[in-house]
Amino acid sequence: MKELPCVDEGDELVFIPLPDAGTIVFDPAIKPGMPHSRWRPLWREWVFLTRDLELPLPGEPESVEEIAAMLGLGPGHTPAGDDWITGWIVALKWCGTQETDILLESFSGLFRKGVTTWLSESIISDALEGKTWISSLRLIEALQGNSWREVRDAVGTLLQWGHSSGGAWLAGFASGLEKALSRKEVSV
Amino acid sequence: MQRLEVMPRMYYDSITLMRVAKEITNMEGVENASLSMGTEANLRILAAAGFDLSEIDVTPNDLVVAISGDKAVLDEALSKSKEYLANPPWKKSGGKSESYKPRSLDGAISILPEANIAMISVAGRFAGDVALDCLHKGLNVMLYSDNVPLEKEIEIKKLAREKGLLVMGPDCGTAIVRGVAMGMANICPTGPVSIVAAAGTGLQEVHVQLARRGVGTLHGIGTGGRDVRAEVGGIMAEMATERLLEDDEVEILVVIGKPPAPEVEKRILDRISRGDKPAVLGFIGGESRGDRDGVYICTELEETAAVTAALAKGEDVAEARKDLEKAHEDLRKLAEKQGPRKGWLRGLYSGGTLCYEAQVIAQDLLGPIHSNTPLKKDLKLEDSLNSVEHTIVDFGEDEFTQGRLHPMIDVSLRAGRFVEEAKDPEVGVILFDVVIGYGCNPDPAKELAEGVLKARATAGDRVAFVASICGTESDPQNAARQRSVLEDAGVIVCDSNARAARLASFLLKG
Repeated sequence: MKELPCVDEGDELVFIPLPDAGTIVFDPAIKPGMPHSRWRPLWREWVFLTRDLELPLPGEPESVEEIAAMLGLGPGHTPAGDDWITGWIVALKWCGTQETDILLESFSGLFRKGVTTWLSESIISDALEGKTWISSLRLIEALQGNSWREVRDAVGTLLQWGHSSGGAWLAGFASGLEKALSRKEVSV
Repeated sequence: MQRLEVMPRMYYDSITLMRVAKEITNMEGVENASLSMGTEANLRILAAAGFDLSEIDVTPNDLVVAISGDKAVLDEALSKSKEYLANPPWKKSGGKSESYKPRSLDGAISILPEANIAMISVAGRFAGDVALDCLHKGLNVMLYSDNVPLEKEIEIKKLAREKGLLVMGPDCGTAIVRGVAMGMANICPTGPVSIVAAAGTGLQEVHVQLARRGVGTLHGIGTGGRDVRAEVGGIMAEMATERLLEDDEVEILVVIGKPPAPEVEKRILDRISRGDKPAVLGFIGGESRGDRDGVYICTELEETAAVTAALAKGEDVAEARKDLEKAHEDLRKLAEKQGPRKGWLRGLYSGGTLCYEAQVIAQDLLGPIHSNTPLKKDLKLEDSLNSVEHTIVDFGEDEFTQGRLHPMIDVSLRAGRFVEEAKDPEVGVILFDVVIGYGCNPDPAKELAEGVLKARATAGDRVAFVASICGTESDPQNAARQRSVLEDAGVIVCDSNARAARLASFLLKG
């Protein structure tokens, strides 16, 4: 599927199972955990992907208000600002602390409907509920492990997402990790 | 007609600039296209190509797009070049790879914590600090970048010595580590020989000449051309010599390059003499003469390889030298057969050490040779693009590579110079090198042969073209195929640089 189908409210959706496809089970829940400290220099360079991709986003937003101001910023179905925010939330959900939970609550308070596209709203809402999509879960899994090939491939896959969505997501994710780990020891 | 446009503070890598220039040159109606940074040397090249620079205001940080041809196509060519720069047609859509490549040194180390060597290829003004960073992180360094200030090189090498790490370079184009080629290097067998060399084509030539004699090389450590000067004191040449002497897998040690500062030469010689393995010193045009116990002194690259190969194969070194002398006599006969030429020699080189060797040999046979890298200061060319009497120019010098590709990758400048030099009625022989292998132009002979044919259309048989190919049949460009393309264009191709320089001189000397 190259693009999302245009579906109006009330339209009936029919799902046709693929023959012999078996059952595909995907659990989108982000399970709390920690990245391996080995990868810290690597994710720190993702913070600057927004600059490399020339995205119109602030380098490292300081406050929740600054982060909320990025909602809907940039072109596309999922504006780059929304991608960044999604990555940031996923990181905090993965390895956050009570302190970062408060940050997320503050952000939720600023997250108003209608500020961005319906698709972004849906993805951000899912992230706030601790759910994410498979590529990001693969990265999380890789970062918990010790295989550079898995990390390299997981990041490569994410960078393939959209024109710049993957880069913006990774930048937000890296900022979220730094925030979450600033008061927490990274696992060894 | 011509069109020049300055794009202020615009930077693209040299490969992109070369490819865009080629695409534009191939457009119908375009005669010449150049995209280069506005350095003094590049502006001189543009002026020599007939571009009027009087109206432009440019700094070395600006990109200059220069196009000549039919008036009707100039606007389209200019806009095409901008389009290609913004979105190179040879890049896959999206331009992303499937796997992530680290963007920082720390990121790279996190991916590959067991790495013990870093290859640095960034703009020269930043390269020194990157090298220091690598050394502080415990990495040996291959410093591919050129234009690194001398003071920075000394700082880097002193730190490396303190930490017991090697720094190959700056301007280290070639290195071989356990038979694995790094940078511009050739596909040759692995074997008992290890080489300490300046940096590039000297190492490549000996590596290739050994391979042609069936002898393999294990390590090739490039120290950078300035290492053996008094200012740097041969820090890396000595460290590399020490390491290779201590390496049990190394059976024969070779040290080559331009003659070092006397005190550096003495230290290297002393250390080698105390070693327990045979060593061959090949300081091109050096003053040291006479073999001594286990140490063989040579003054040319092919001679160094021939002596080393004889040692590796347990053959008589004296016989190997005699064979070379006979080959030189054969060259004299070949020159007679080809018919002597009148006038001056013009050498157009891409390899620094090959250029130096050619000067040493030609000077011996023809007298003073002018150059941008002369053997004697008073023979330095005022303008490297304005030859004087016998002249041999190194196009790989920093003046030609700032904001422009090295001539081993972009051969267009030399191909164009063939025509200019051949127009001079006083020129009798044009000598050049063709260096192939990893990292070099994928088919240098094609473009060089086109240049030769254009020059021959102007000068006829008045000018003889003599060349040598530094490479092997296993290289991606295939030395035999390159040779055949050049020979079809009327070039006399010799088996080594020393032979080519000798033949070129014999042709003029009669």
